[in-house]
Amino acid sequence: MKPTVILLIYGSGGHRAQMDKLLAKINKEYEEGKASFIGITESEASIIHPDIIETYEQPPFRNKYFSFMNLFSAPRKYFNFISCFAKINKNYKVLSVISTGPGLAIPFSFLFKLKRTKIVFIETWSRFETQSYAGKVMYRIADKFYIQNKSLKKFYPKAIYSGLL
Amino acid sequence: MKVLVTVGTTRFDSLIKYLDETFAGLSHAFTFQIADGKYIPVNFPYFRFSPDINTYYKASDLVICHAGAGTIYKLLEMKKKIIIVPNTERIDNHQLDIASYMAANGYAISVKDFSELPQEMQSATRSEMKIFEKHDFDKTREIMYFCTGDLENKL
Repeated sequence: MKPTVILLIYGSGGHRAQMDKLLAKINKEYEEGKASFIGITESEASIIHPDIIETYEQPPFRNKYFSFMNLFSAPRKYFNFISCFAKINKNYKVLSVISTGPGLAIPFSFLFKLKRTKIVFIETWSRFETQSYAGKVMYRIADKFYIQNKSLKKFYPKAIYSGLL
Repeated sequence: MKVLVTVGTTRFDSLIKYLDETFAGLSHAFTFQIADGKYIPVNFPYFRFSPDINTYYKASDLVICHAGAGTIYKLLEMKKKIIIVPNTERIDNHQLDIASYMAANGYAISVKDFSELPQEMQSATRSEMKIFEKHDFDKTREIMYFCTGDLENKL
């Protein structure tokens, strides 16, 4: 039987730091039984944690520096995403997805949404008066959308205020 | 005055070089955390990364930091006086968002132009900052109930 897991999607730097903190909180505050996790992250950003069974490292979804080469790397990137999605589906039953951004969460959440998997997105803690790209798109895809700063309510009226990780 | 300058994970050579040169021979005791910076300070001690950065935070009277959210929240939680300098060597602009929020609400000083730093350091020692009250993340259980479909534990 395939293991039932929660999929965590996060990037490097601050996105990873926020996921790290969330995991620490889950360990401390969720006593109702242990949950197992798998991860999708960017190169070399994997969190090592006893409850994470396996982590898939992917190229960043959006390159921060536009270049002509993007046109050539895009098809391979999408192939990577789809093959990663297929691999996960073969090996695991994904109960839900939790992401702290960035845009890497978008293609995977979209694919899992088609399978009616529950999607949770936490908008990054560094935003007050601007929206992240991932936030803008994920607000439409996520079943539960959290904001860590109250000032974001004007962009995301249906979001739930969570406080800071 | 003990001043720690911290750039997080992305190097910020122009800031380090400016401070290292401008404050040479003056009374402030700087320590630089420079990440993978190419500019090596000559007038003050430096290190690249530390697994125990909090100890450095504690020992400082003032911290000059990049506008990384993790760094800022940690320092404000420790009630440190901070001057935020958004890293404009990065292509993305989201560092400006948090820097201007913190400055506008009086939790920190924010500086865009390095030449304002000497003066802002002076005023930082004199003035008191507003205390930033952190509302700790309190939706962990809600998220886990939702994600596991744990229906018995209704909120």
